[in-house]
Amino acid sequence: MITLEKVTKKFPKQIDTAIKTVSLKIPDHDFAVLLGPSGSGKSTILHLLAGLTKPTSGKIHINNKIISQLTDQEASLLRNQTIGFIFQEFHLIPHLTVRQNIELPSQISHSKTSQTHIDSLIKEVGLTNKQHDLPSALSGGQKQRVAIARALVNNPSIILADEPTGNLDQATAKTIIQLLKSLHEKHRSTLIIATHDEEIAKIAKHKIFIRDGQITKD
Amino acid sequence: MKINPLSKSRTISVSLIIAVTSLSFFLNIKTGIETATFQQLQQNTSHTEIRVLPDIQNTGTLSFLTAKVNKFSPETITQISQLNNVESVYPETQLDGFASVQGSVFGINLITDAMIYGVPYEFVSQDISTPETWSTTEQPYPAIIPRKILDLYNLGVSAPRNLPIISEEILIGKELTLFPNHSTLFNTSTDSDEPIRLKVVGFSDKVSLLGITLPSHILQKINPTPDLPILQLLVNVDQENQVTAVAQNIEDLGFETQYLQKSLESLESKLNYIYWVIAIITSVIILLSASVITSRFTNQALKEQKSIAILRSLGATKKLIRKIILKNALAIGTISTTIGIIIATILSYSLNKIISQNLSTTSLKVDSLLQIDLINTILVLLFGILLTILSAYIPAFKASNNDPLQDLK
Ligand SMILES: Nc1ncnc2c1ncn2[C@@H]1O[C@H](COP(=O)(O)OP(=O)(O)O)[C@@H](O)[C@H]1O
Ligand SMILES: [Mg+2]
Repeated sequence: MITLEKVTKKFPKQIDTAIKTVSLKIPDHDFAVLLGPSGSGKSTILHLLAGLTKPTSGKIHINNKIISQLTDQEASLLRNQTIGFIFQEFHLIPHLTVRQNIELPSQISHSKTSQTHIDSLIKEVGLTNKQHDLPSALSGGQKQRVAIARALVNNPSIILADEPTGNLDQATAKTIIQLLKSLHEKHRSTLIIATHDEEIAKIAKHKIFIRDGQITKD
Repeated sequence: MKINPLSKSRTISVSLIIAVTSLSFFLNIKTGIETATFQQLQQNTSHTEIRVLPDIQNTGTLSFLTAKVNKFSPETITQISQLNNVESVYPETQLDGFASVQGSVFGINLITDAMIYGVPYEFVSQDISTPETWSTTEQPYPAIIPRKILDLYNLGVSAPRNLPIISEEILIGKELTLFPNHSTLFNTSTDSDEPIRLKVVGFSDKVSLLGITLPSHILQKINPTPDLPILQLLVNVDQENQVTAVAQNIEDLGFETQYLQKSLESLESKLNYIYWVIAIITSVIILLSASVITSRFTNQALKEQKSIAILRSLGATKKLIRKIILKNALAIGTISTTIGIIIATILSYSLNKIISQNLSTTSLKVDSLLQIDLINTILVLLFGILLTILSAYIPAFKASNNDPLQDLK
């Protein structure tokens, strides 16, 4: 269960407040889309959930932990074990192969991830014959598939995807969203996708509308 | 982490290799020179011996020859013998008049003018392995050749003219003929001056340079005057720690002294000068490398900022980021330092080969002017690794504290 309680976020050099008293509940295994125009605060909310930034006021609970009060060590553990984050710009490490990029989260936590688990993940995202290539040899859609597999490697209960199709063409975007949805159904993880694309939003039942840092409709 | 998420910097490795090579090289030279000079000097020189020479400084250039002759008198010997802690005094005397020496090496007959000196056995005891040859009263008489003459001949005469090198092994046991009162320039010999047969029994650094040294009693036999001119004295002191004090007393009497401790001191000050020069050059190289390494690590951290931010977003703690950067530095440090040491070692070996080949014709026994020393090697290894880790430490600390969201933009 993810709960936001009157969360506000104001950036130091910003006049306006990015997030204005947002309260929100997302149950386990939910598939929610955070829909709003650019600059409305979608990324900020996902960053708050991942513990990458702290709220100015209010509380964020994830699985009964108040994540706004975590130490660096605890927040890191949350990002590594509980949350899988997918960025719009993929953010792969350029000199590591597809397989090594996917393995990274398990390497960070020294978890005993079996090679067959990696194999099946690579197969699930359809990159078996690309696994020893460097990211530079991949198309945009393939790069995002690597990022998706990487987000899943430690079996997190929550997947956060920030505009995962923002850098992809329409057709590729559709397959990526389909992939995310089918993986969510298979692994039963909570999936939250932030997007400004109403087409994409159609795929999810739970839609959260956001504008100027406020939830307009949940 | 088994995977190294950071890329490797060639500049860091190269600068470190240069720094380590020069440091290692410097230490090799230092130990090498020290062993070559100090140890040899200490091994080959008696620790309780003082050579007493006339004080040339006080006599002036023009009166040099006359002042030197008879500067020592039998009274001087008595005077010095009576000083505290003096065990014995041995004079080196000189045969008056001309003499020439003839010998044949490699089938070539050589004849040259030479001074003839005389010393008691004790004067050269360290240079003669067979004392019994010294006491002969029958011809051929034992003769000692100054070692430096051989070096001068080999370096100055035989090397430039491609003549064969004359080694101690070739000369030892050789027979020479001495013609007293005879000069190759003007023949002054009389019928009474019979040629005398000599046999080379050893080489010495102590005897005078310009001729051949025979036992004193033989010199007396050749020229039976009671007071042959004395050139230098060899004074033996009871104990090593009294040498400096005794030498001071002798100097107070107006003579010049030479002894091991004094030579070591002057050698040390000369070597220190050389060390300082090399040390400054080495330090400059190391400082330059260190600054290159630090700036490279800072650059690398900047270049890797995004990778680091990705790792942070994937759940790497600040501590882990520092660890990754320092581990990366440790790997670069260890590999580069090892390479540097290997290069310095190979370089030292090759230079040693060249040097010892060039010195093989002289009496300088230098097998390794650059000495590879285990403790030095370990110190250099630690230094190289420490240098890299220290250079990486601040960049690592900064990188781990960056805001990953900022770096991912
Ligand atoms: N690091 C930051 N510093 C200052 N302002 C920021 C920062 N990040 C986001 N903002 C501001 O917060 C608001 C919300 O941004 P964001 O969450 O990125 O919106 P979205 O993802 O919906 O486009 C915007 O007005 C943006 O300019
Ligand atoms: Mg955004």
